[in-house]
Amino acid sequence: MERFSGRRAWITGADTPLGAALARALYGEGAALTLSGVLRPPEGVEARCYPVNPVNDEHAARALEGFGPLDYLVHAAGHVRRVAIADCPVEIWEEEMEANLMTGWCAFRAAAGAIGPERGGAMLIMGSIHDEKPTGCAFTYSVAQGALSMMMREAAQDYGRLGIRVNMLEAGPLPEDAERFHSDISGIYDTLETKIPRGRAASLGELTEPALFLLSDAAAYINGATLRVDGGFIGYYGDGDSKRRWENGYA
Amino acid sequence: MGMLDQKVALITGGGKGIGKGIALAMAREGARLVIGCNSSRGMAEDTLRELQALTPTILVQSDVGTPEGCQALVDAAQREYGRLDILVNNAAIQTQYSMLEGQYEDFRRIIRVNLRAAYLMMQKSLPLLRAAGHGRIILISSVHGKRPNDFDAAYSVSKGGLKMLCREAAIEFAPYGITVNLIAPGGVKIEGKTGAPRTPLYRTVPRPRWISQYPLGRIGLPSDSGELACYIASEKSDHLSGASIRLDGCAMLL
Repeated sequence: MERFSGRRAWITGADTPLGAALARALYGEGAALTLSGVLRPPEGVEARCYPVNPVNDEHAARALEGFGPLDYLVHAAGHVRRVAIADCPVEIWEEEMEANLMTGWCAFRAAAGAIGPERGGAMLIMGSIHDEKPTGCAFTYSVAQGALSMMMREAAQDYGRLGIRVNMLEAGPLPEDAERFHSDISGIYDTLETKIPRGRAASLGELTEPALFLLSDAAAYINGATLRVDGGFIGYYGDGDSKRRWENGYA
Repeated sequence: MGMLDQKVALITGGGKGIGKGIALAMAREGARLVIGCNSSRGMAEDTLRELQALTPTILVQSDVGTPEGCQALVDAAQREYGRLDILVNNAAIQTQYSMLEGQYEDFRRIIRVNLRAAYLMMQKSLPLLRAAGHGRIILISSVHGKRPNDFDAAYSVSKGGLKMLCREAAIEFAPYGITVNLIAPGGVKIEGKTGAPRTPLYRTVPRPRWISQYPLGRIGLPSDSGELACYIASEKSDHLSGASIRLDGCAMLL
């Protein structure tokens, strides 16, 4: 498929596995790319690169400088910091808000100026189920996710009137999430294999495909929406295994 | 006997508006108070006199947008009363902020006052709240923590963050018997405001037309948040935590 032939996309957080996968996927379908957060594009991809994510307006502007008219922004920049509310130094809060929230804020505003209304563009936040579900170990990440989800809803109204659709994808567990979100307070990432109906975490392709759909013309009437891509994880009850144990006589 | 006898409550932005409504309600239920203000000192001093007629109250002028400003409030509670039972994170900036023209520094300021201050206040109050036994943290958000408005995107973003701060704090502080809840008021009539939504549309519409968006027949009042906050702050609400309560006269459903 070449759904994005002739289209131009800006991906923040190209330094993350998901950001890199999105770059490969969009490039593979014909898009011209500018990537933030990396010095070089992923292997097999040709793209402009800018090494710093848009933590302020200047870094946002540099990523787009000379790139030409834009169709899409994919905001994949983000960082998970394991820290408790009780202990978190204010400097860490500021670092994490910069990496997670300010990058989104600066990218949104820069992209809105670069996406011409006649091109029918779209913005997408690569978010997380932790825009609703607390982590118990990484509050700066989930607080930023909650803030980003409102940013998306505001932008869907304001930018929507300019012909730009804005949505958010809530990603469920990638294989590394059980470790990076391990919490003594919340057991949500324990027993993932029974909690998730498919019995396994997501693969990168299972997250990039829905993302590309939300950007594509097939999603022309989707605006201000969150699409949860978690394999049904969030609907778990208990450890997800009580029914099987009951059927087996608690063997 | 009041619901909050013997309790000490700290209310940021308690000198006016919703914060004042909460302070008055808690005062009538027997709580002793610390109220914070920043730029509206004159209004806050009037409120202070009103409250002192009901209950011991001190006023602290500080900027909760700074860590020192947050610390000053907690230190005042420790110094004056030697305890803190109830923390109400109410102080917030609401202006006109566009997602197209808004400035970076203004946005960062709004996040620091509306969102960061709540986490700093919780953190700094934690030792006193743990010692209290039935510690209560109440976050004052807005219906615009879930539903966009037309005039202040930065405000909504900050309130979206508050929702998750409430949930994270609820599970982190539960082992200490501290509950953390969020009140989301709709439109509220406060001093110096007509009560009209500040969207361009409503600025042109005569007052009786927009009042119909309040099905129960009136706009919200600071006392509405006050009454709910008293219940949440009391020991009756021991099992309520991590909750977000929309307090808007069902207006958002329309």
